[in-house]
Amino acid sequence: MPRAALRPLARLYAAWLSPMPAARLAALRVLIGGYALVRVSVLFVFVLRRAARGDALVHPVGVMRLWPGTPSVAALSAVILVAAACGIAFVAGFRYRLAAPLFAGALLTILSYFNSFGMIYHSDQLMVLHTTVLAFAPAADAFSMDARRRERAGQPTPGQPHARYGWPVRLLCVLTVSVYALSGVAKVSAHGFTWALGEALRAQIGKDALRKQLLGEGAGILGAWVWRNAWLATGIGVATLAMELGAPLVLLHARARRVWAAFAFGMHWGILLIMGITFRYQLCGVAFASFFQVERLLPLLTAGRRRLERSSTEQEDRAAKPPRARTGS
Amino acid sequence: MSSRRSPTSGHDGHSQEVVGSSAPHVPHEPDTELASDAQDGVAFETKLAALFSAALLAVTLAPIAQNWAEAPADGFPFSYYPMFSHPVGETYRVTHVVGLDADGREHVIPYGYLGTGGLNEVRVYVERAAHQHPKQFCEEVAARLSARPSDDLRHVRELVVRTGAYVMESFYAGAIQARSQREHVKCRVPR
Repeated sequence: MPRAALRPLARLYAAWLSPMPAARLAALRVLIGGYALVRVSVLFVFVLRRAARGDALVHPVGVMRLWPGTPSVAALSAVILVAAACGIAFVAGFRYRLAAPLFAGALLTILSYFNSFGMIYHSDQLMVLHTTVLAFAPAADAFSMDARRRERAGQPTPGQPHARYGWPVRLLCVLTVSVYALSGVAKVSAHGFTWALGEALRAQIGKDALRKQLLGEGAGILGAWVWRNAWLATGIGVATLAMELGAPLVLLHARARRVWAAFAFGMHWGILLIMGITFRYQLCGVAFASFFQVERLLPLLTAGRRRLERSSTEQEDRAAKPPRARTGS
Repeated sequence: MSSRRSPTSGHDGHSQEVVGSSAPHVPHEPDTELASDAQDGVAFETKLAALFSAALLAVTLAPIAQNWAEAPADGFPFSYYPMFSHPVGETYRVTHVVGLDADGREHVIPYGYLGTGGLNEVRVYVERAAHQHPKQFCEEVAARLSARPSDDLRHVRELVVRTGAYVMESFYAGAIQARSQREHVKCRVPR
């Protein structure tokens, strides 16, 4: 292959591996791992209740395609226990090299089971992809129990930004924009670019409201307003499709990335208000954290921890202090 | 143990504080063999990282082919994200359950009585159950309703499992109109 043809690839490779601070990756570990841990905790009663009832899988997806038959309560309980224990270790950065892949695997298994009953929850997918990236990245080199242990042992701790902390953050961003680009392609392949004109969006809003009404749930509070104003639906349609199909382009510019992430975050709040659909991972903002300098949040956590440590030390000091001897009669 | 702070400039051009408790061990005389080994290790690590990134990105993007498949299939955790893209006509078919009181008035039976999970998951289940085992499904819902009726459903005597083609425009116009309806089964609510 001629050298000139390889040059862009080499540039891409170099850009992919350009350095970032370890603290950013660590902050993403805490945020994304924390969210995933909460998600597993919320799901566990539901998953076990369903397993206890013996519901057969309707359309096995993910790990469930490889699982022989329907998983038993005992098997699911074991996976949930692994997820909970390794999830805590993931967030704390404790024995990360072992705990993180185990957590990612357990999370994938539980969510594969959860999504195997005929309905796929699309907001879980990005979370699983993000967790997988972090599980195989050195995300516990800073702000973690592993890092503190290494410090105490006098081993070197990450100081300068390094390539090994850069690629995972970039991969998180690329996966996020890819998911939106895929969503845009699905719309265009089904409707052509006329999806942007608003009629398709109005139909989706109407369909969603109709079935919610017939199944006993309220429609989105702004749904009627958008439905009645075709110009508004057109504006939202154009903006949505531009945001989705243009997503990969924003990777070329740092500020564009952040503006895009803020727009995508706003779009999910719009979906909630118009259709009452909750993309929880996106709504809480964690899905877009990799686009920002989230390491700036770490001092807040550190300050909180120090305050806790200080107050507990003071309490211990007070408890340990001998009662003052009485003077005089 | 004293803490060390030194400002460094990150790749993004902003400065950041690097905090560490102990200085990394730096040999006085660089051992060329060790340095070469370390460089080889870093090179291997970065190549592995690039390979992992490319592989994960490829499998994430692979479902795009479903858009042109004859029978597209969604998956997990890799999907082609078809939400909000299915074409919708003037009418929309919904299978649902209606409660009838002594006066024949209709009441919506909320999805919580119909199955487990979120609304869309229950909707898919109801669709299937109404076609595969309607009588059993109706009796299960009736039993659940009888066991824990909400205040406004206390007077429901009978359930109807129904599939209707409803006019989309009618919802926001104020009242839902059905273009056609089909009753799968009726069952009594045990009291």
